[in-house]
Order: sequence, then C-alpha cells, then structure tokens
Amino acid sequence: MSFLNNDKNAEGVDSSVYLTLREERRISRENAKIIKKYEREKNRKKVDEKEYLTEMRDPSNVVEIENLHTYFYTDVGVVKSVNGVSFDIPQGKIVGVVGESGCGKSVTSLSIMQLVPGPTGQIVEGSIRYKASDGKCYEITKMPRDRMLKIRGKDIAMIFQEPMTSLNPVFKIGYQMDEVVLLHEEESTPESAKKKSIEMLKQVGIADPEKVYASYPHELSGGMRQRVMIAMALICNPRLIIADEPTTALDVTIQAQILELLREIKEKINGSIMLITHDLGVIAEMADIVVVMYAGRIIEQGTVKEIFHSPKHPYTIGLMKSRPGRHIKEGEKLYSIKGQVPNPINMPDYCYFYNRCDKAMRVCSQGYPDLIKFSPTHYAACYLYNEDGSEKSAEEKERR
Amino acid sequence: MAMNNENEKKLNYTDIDEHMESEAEQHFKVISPGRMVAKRFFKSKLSIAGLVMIIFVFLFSFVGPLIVDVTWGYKETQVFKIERVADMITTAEFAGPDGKTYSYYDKSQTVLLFKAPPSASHWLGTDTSGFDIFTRLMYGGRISLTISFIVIFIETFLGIILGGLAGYYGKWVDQVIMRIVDIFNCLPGLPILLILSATISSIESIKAEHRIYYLMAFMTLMGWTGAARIVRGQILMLREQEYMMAAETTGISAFNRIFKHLIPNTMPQLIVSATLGLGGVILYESTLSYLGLGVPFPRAAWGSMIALADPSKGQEILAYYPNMWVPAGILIVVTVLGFSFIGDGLRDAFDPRMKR
Amino acid sequence: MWKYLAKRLALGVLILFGVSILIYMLTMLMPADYIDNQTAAALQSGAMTKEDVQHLKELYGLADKSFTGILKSYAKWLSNVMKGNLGRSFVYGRPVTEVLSDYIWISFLIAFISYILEIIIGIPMGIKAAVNQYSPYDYTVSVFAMMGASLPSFFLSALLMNVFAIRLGIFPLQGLTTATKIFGPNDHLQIFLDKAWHLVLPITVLTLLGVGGTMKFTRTNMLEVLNSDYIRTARAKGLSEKTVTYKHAFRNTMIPLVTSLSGMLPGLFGGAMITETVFAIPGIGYMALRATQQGDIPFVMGYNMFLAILTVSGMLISDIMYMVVDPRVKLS
Repeated sequence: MSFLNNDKNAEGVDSSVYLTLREERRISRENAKIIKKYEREKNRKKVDEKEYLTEMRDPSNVVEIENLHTYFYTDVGVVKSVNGVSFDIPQGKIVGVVGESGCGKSVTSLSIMQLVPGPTGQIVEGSIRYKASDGKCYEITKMPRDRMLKIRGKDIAMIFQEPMTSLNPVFKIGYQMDEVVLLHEEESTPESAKKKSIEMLKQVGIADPEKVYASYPHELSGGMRQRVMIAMALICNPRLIIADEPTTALDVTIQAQILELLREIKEKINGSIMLITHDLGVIAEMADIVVVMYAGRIIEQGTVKEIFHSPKHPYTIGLMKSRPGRHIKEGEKLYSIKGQVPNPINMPDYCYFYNRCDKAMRVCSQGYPDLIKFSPTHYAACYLYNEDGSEKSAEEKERR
Repeated sequence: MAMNNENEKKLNYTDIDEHMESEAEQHFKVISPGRMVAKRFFKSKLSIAGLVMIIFVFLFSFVGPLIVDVTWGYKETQVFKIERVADMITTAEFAGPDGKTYSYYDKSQTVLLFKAPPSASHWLGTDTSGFDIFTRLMYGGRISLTISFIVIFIETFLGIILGGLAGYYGKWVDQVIMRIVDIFNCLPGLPILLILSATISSIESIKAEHRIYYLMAFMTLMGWTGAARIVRGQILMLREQEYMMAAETTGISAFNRIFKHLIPNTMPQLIVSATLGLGGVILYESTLSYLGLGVPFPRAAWGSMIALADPSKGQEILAYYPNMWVPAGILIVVTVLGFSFIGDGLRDAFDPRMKR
Repeated sequence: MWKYLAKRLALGVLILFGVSILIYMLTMLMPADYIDNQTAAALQSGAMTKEDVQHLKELYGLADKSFTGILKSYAKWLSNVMKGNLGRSFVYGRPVTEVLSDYIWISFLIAFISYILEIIIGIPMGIKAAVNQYSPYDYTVSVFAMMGASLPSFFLSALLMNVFAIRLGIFPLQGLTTATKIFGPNDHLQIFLDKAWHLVLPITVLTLLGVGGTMKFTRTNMLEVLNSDYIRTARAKGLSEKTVTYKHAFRNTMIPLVTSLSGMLPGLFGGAMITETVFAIPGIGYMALRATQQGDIPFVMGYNMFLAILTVSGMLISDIMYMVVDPRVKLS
C-alpha cells in the first residue's frame, strides 16, 4: 500500500513542515496583520445589540453551530483546528462529541464560549447561535468581549478536564463559588451567595458542604474538586453545560459517580450538556446525539443508537472496533487504526482519513467527500455511499 | 474477500510500526537539534543584536590594537605630549575694606601637555597621563574579555566537578557540598572581593602584574556555585531515568557515567548560565579597576578609565572631559548587554516553552 | 511547621559558622607585621599599649600561627562576636558596633526609598509586559531591564552627576549636606530638605539599577501564572480580564515576589558601597569601603559578619513569608 501525498517534493520530503527562516518571518508578519484585525473587532465597546441579535433555525435548539472555522495563526503556519463544523445542541439533550486528541473538539467548545486562546486563536468564519432563556438569540461570533462576559458562567458554563489544577490555589472554595454568584446575579449579597454556594455543594453530592466551603483546593481530592467545578458551573442555572473530558483524570469509580451526577443535574434544571470525550463507553452511557470529529471536521453524526448500531464512516467503524472492552474471540488481534492524524498545518484537499482508511478508493484522493444523509439525524462524509444513503456496489468501489 | 482481509490484517499488524515510522519520516525532514537551536536563536532580533555587539567588541579589543599599532604605532602606555595653549581663568568675590563686594577676574595662559581634546590623530584625545584614549579602550577591552572568559571557564569547570560529585554520590557527599554551596552563597560578593583585592594590593611581595591572577582566582571562588547547582540538579533528575540503568548493565565505570552520559544533557543550561555570568564578571572586574584594586596602572582597563572622572578628585574631568570616561562606560554596557541578549536568546532557543 | 523552621534555623546557624570561618581565614593572608604597621601610630601616641597590640595579634591569629594557635584565636574572636563585640576599628578608633550603628541609618533610608520606588514602578510594568506579551511595550521594558543590570553603578552615577549636577545644576554633586550653608538650631525642616536634596541622585541611581530586575521577575512569574488552568477557569466564569489579571493572577504572582523581597535584606541594611562612595554619602557602605581600602581588619570582619547575618536572616524570613502567603504550605 502506498501512501500518496501531494506535498512531497523530489526528495520525498514533506517540505510543508520544515520552513526556512525567511518563510517563518513572512508567516509571522502575515499572522500579526490578521490577528490585529480580529482583536480590534473583539475589543469594541458599547456595540449596539442589533449587530449580534439573530434568529435560530430551529427554535428547539439551544445552540446552533454552522460552518465554524477556528484557526490558530502560529509561527509555523495556520493550524485549522476547526475546519467547517456544523451541528446543533437541542434543548434538554446531551450531545456527545467524540474524537482523537487534536481533532478540534475542545477548540469547538472554547469557540462557543469565546474562550479560544488568543491572540493566535481566532474564529475566522461561521456562526454560533445561542438562544437565551428570554428568547433572544445571540450570534456569538459577532458579540463583543464585554457582552460575552455576561453569558459566560451564567448561561453557558464549562467544566474542564483537570480538576487538580483548575481551581485557584490561593482562594478558598467558598470564595471562588461566591464570586460567580456575586458577579452574575444582580441582587445577591455575600450572605445570599454563601447560602447558594453551600446549597449547590450539597446538590453535587458533597457530604459536608460547610467544611468544603471553608477549605482550600489542595485540601480536597480530585473527585471532590471536580464536584466543586460542577457546582461552580451550575450555580447560576446555565442553559448549556460544556463538559470537556470531565472524568478523564479521575478514577473509574469516581467517573461513574460524576457522570451520574451530570445526568441528574441535567434533568433537574432541564439544561443541555455538550459532553466531550474520547471514551466511547461514556458516550454510550450518556449521549443522546453523537458527533464524531476528525482533524477539524465532523465525519459522522447521528443519534446514539444510529452511531453504535450502524456506523457508516470507516473511522467510526474503526473506533467501534478499537474499544478494548469489546468482546473479542480468543487469539484475535487487538484492532487499532493504523497511521496518524495528518499534519494540521497543511491539510490535504481530499478526505483526511484517506491514508488510514482500509476501504479507501481512488476517488477518495481527489476531493473532500460530501455529507451523505442516511436519516434526518444521521450524516456521514464518505465516498463509500451513494447520495441516497445506499452503499456503493463492489464494481463502483475501485480498489487502489 | 475473507482471505484478502486476513492478509491485509497480517500486513497491518507486522508492518504497523514500520509503516508509521516511515510515514513519519516521509512527512518530517530530520533536522539535527543543533540546527533547530540555531534557527530559533536567529529568529529573535535581540539575539542577533547581542551577537553583533559582542562580535564588534571582540574585534575592537583584539584586532583593534594590532591595526592601531601597524597604522599609527600607538601602544597601550605610550605617552603623547601634545602642546596646547589653554586659558586659565580665576574668579573670586571678596569684601573690600569699604565693606562692598568686589569681584576679581584673572586670565592667564598656560601650556598643557596632557588631556588633549579629540583630534584627527587621536580620535578620543589623550588622558591625564598623555595616553591615547582610543587605544587604551581597546587594550582595556582585551583584558576585560580575557579575564571574564578565563574566570567563567574555570568557574564552570569547578562547578561541574563539584556538582557532579554531589549529584552522583549523593548522601553525605551531597550534603557536605551543598552546605559549602550555601555558605559561599551567603558571602557578600562585592565586600569580600574588595577585601581580598585590597589585601593583595597591600602585600608588597606580590607584584602588581600578578595581582590579576589572584583576582581571577577570587572571582572564580565567588561564582562556581551557580554551575554546581545546575549540574547537581540535572543529575538528580537524570539519575531516575532509565538509560542510567542501561549504562549500569553494560558495565561502564562510575567516573565515565558521570562525565560522559550526564554532562551533554546539562550543556544547554550551563551555556546559558555561563554566558549570562560573563557580564557579571566584567562588571566585577570594572568595579575593582575603578577602585584601583583591579588591573594595575599603567595598564588600561575600562573601570580605571572611568575612575578619572571621580568627583572626589575634582570636577574637571567629570564635567569637561567626557571623552575620557564616557566611551569606556558605554563599552562596558554594550558588552554586558550583548552577553545578556545572547544568553537570553540561547535560553529561549534551547527551550522554547514560553512561546505561544 | 515548627519542625521545618527549626531545621532552617539550624541550617542558618551552620552557614554562619562556615562564613565566619571563611572570613577569619582572610586574616591568614595578612603579612606578619601587618598589625604592627597599623598600630604604629596609635602606639606612638600612647593610645594603645604594647599589651593591647599583642592582644590584637592574638585575637586575629597573627601571633601564634600554629594550628592550635589559630584555633584558639578563632574561638576567642567568635566568642567576642557572639557577645556583640566586633572589635575596635583601626581606622575610626571606635568600637565597630558603634560605627555601624551610627552610619547605618542613612544607608537604610536610601536603600528603603529606592526599594519602595522599585516596587511601585517595577511591578506594574512587569504585569503590563506579561499581559501584553510580545508587544512593543514588552520588548522595550525587557531591554530597559537588561540595561539596568548592565550599567556599572559608578558609571551611571557619573553620568547623572554630569547632566544633573554640573550641567543643569539642579542637584548637588556630593555629600549629604551643603557645607557652606549654616543652619540655625531650629531649622529642622530646612536641614531635612537640604539632606533630601542631596539624596535624590543616589536614590535615583539605586532605583534605576534595581527596577529592571523587579520588573523582569514580575513578568516571568505573571506569564507562568497566566498560562495556568485556574486562570482559564476564572475566564470561563465570566470575570473580566482586569479582574482575572489583578485579582486571580496577581495574588499568585505575589507569592514568589514576596519571598524574593526578603533577599533584599542585606542590601537594605548593608549599604551600597560604590554608590555611597561616589556621592560621598556618609553611610555604612562608604565607611566599609574606606575601612577595607585601609586594611581595617576588625571593621572589615565585623561588617562582613554583619552582612552574612543579614543574608541568613533574609533566608529565614523568606521561608516564613512563604508560609504566610501560600496557603498550600501551611500544613506541610
């Protein structure tokens, strides 16, 4: 099997990775110009609301992401972390975003919060629409920074992966939680905030909330800290909780508890969760809708049943097969998808999965596949299927 | 179909590592670490500026004297008597016998031989002893740079040995050496150097020429702790790593282990520390020379040139002859700054963690 | 916690012992007739007797150069030091401790004011540079910091003197007071202002030399803090950048800053030898330099022990401050 790559020069070297000094300088200069433009946009003050109010395509969605492009303008080139991502997060549902490290799932979530680490990271194109509880619909990509602050932590909250380092070590837990309440709720007082914080700590299953309230982060275990993070995220009753690998850094037993807690909370406040993970088991447990990302794009999405029972894209199929917990026959080799994720700086203009796919055809190297619709909820981008969703016949699939 | 799959799977399984590696190699040109460091170094304008500054000072100090000697025949301590006529003006106010204040004004002329102003044949003029200032700047640079490099070299060497012993043997050897490091760190740098130099100067049996060697030894003693700490720290870190176990199994002796395996890994930090230390030694040496305790007269040194402007000896030079002392100071700043830029640039080049 | 402090204290004492031995060894370098030379004048004028001179020789290990002899003299000297007796200065003819206490306050004043200025100027600059990394402001400030560390103090002093004292005539050139002015017994304010006027240039020199270091230190620590996870959490909570920087980030940067401030202790009380000399300010550094140049053994040794004590005390205070400022350290 040969691995074709258009970027090779005569020596067989991918010159897109090694840059001369002059090229690097040119890139830096271009980046500086582009970044300056975006930063100026974001820093505008007192922008009229009309500029960022919009309408939802489907009013039952909390967040709609359409053709999102988030790039990082680095010293070695433009990293297209999110390269045309579109999906919806309906009200009251859990959307699981699954994929390998570096596929862009975290950056997507950060884009929703307008927390993409700048100034190198910028939302370049696309639209993120958010429907607030009062019915107003905001276009997040156009919102200026000072307005976004009001939504962050209050309407959309985020839980991060590393509970051990996500809390400020010099402030007490109670202080950090009260901060959120005092910031976002107009009529709150220190006493009312304290009451609310302690109540929230109880709700996330902490046995002695007053004690935890008065502790420092280093006095708590990882599981406790993650519960605190969840409490902090929920304290203002957000409409959407984004959980970025919330259990990856925790023990398996704690994992189950935390996930259960998330589900309970979702029911209670009737919010939505965007759950990011690379663990298919978690997805199977929790998600209603599954979005599979690869190298910055969505290669398949559907309901959890559709994805697990009839995965269409070879990558999804590969993921299913690679699960170690799967029932394997004795003597069968463990499956792993061969190859590596392509270089994020110079993505090819054909299917990204081409050189790792065991069902690849010649047409796959000639352009990026369109999204094929298998059902109103199930999509995949692959040349294996006809437009109506049926699989191509053996003759149509020309093997390489 | 099934057969194909079997073969395919077999192929994938056995070739998987090879395929991955060759693919990686095909995608990424292999660059040696040295070139990567150099590339990162030259990316920063400050690093390049520092390099230019140091190259300039080196050429000025080592090549300069040769050129000056060949072109004009000027030497370091050659006296130039340049006659010029200067006005001497005296004014005073005093109270006369009638109680009124009178002012007195007297103007006379005198012939001066030294302290000549800048001219075509002496670009910065001559100083109070008639030496050509420009030439002396070069010789001063030569001695400052020589001293600093020797001191840093010996310092680092000493630090490597002691740090290496401490890190490798551990236990009581480590404790003893680290306590010695602590003690030396608590010694107040400048005061001790001053005492030592002052003592050396007062001992008549030591010739002025040999003073410098003693001073270099003293400065080495004050500075070896930095390198020792770095080496020891690195060793402690590397000791835990696996390849040390591998070396053990191949039977390499302890001595070899320390100096062959671990030293190359500490080179980056040592180089950065040494480069930044060069500036420090130059500052120490110029301070000692300023106080007359360093490079002895009539040899040239940047510090002693600035000492001509000491206000306690009269304001004349400080105020009216900046050509005698300002260039020396500027050269000190350029040199130390140049080493700082290079040191910082090297640090960023070796370990670009802080970059976005 | 107390165990840790006790351990550090013991270490400090051990270090001081070591330093005292090293300092004492300096006297070994003295030639045999050194004390004779120094005390000749005093002997002749009758201020000292032959026994006094012999006593001195014994004290500084120059009488009996055998190993046991040196050991005995060291013990004697050390026991004196511990009693607070640092000997009698050759140059100043007074007990060393007296000289120290007389002149230390001016040095303290100059150093203290310049430290305050360094903090007021350096910390905000460092924060701003870190928040705007790679901006022109950042580069300028970093270069400025490095220049401050590259200037020899005597050169900077001479430059400032030339410009401000001589050419512009704004500030006086040297000294603490204007010799030609005569003040009445009640002119306290005028005396004070006169002294302050004389101190402006020296304080400026010390501040300019030190502000770069403070700024760079703040910037490095701020950068590290700003890249940490909990800052990302703070932003995700909806806090403004200003709150994130000045409340969350700064509080964490304070920890290494505060501990480094105690390292300034020797500078605070030890005086700035060169700057004081150039400006002829009668502070402890000036006195020490003169004493050193003239080979005043008692003073020099006393002064250096004093500095070593300050350094070790600074170390201990650093440890304590660390415990106070960083909640993670309390229980360990």
